[in-house]
Amino acid sequence: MRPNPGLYFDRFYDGWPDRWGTKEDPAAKAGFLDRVITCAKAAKTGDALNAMLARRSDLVRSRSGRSARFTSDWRWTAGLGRSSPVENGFNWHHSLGVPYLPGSSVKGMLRSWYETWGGSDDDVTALFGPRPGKGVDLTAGRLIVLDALPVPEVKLVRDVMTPHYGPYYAGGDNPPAPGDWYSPIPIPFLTLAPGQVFDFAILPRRPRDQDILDEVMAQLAAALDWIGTGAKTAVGYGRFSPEVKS
Amino acid sequence: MSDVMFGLLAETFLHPGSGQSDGAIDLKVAREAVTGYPYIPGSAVKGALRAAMCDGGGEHKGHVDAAFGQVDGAGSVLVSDARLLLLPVRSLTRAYLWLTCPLILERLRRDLERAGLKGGDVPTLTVDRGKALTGITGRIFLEDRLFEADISKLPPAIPEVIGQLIADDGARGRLSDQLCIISNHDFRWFAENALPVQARNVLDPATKASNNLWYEESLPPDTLLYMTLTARGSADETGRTAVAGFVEGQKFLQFGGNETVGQGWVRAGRYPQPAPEGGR
Repeated sequence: MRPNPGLYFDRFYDGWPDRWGTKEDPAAKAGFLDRVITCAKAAKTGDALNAMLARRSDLVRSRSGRSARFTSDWRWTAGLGRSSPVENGFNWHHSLGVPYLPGSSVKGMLRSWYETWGGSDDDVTALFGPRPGKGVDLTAGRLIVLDALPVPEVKLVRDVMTPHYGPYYAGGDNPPAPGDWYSPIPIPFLTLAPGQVFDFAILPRRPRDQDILDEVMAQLAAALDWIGTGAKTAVGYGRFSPEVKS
Repeated sequence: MSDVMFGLLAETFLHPGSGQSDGAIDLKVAREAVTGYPYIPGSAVKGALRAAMCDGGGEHKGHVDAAFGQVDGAGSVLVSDARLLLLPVRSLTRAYLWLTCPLILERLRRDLERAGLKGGDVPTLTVDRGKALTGITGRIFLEDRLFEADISKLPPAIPEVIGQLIADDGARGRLSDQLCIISNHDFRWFAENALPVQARNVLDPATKASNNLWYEESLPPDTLLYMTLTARGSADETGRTAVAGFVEGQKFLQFGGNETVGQGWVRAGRYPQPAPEGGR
């Protein structure tokens, strides 16, 4: 048995209260996430992941792209907005059963970095394509941003967030006061342990786009260091440093 | 002279869009109307091949108009749909199992025959509902559905033929460990419901609030499809030879949507791919 941890996470939650009660049960969720972590260990995803990374560097070489590896400084998580019985989802790679960051997320981060700190509007549009809008001629950008894949070993840890003002946060446009009479509710969620290596890769869309890649990879490194990827970047998750070769 | 068949092994997620929504999923992948199987329509394959050859420089560009046609004349190459052969479906036994069904294998046999290629001896199978022909013993979960493994009935000719469409030695080496044949009826459910769905949105640059949210279906990496290139008139095979040569030289091709977010890359391998050194 080498189960897909993503399948187990998505389909096999077993902490529903009896009689379909609605009471939140943080302990059941935490216990389930611990079983997901055990399942991920049993899955032994390392070999398949290494094989996929090797195939990918084949693709990157053959298309004259660039790849680089970065190590997370602190915990990393993504896909929390996906629906899940444990409240927060997680970005599982379908065929590999490991967490990953879709190319669209990497591209969005990089674009945001360029728009805030980088070149002119024309540069941004050339690299990433125009933002859709009225009267905009849509064209494809010069870059192809591949998914960021973790490099074995992939180590999951359970984390917890403890919102103190649930009714205030959930109150929409007209929330009740964020009073200290509310009880804090612990919500467990999945993260990757600090020190996780990820492989990022970018291809030129056309052969003539190769010359910009060195600059783009330098900007990627800066963006990963300063704004980070995934969820909860405002509280320190998802920052990366260039991988230190040991 | 026989036609040319290529196996297309997905290296990344693949989004051959249908431009249609079913309410729950905003952007579905294209599916054959009758079978419901995901596929890449021949027009999309042909367009991608043409664009790639135009970018491929002088030597290839010179063949484009003759092979793919112009306003006042048909091209000399017939490009088929890329048909589904193996669909990776998540399991509790392996990270995924490569699912296929008797109907797909029958179509492969007929496509090989029509192309004049050897390998037409793919045996005809019948599989009962709830059963799975595989090399794994015991009970098998595919997504959250339970199947009973039947290890005695998987004919070795099937992984042999399929393997000759896989251009990656590592993936081909795993074939007999992950291949799983279920009934046509069961397969249709997975083809309809077991594809990965990615949630995407655009964040407001100032507030980081989600401006929109859409759900997008795709075919997962390691999906295996195949396509055929045929010469329109049997007298002139120049165009077919040029396109086939280009595909073999490129090895990697990009099909379908979401190109700039890294989707659509396949590894093309011309049938029959030789068995790796040392054999299986």
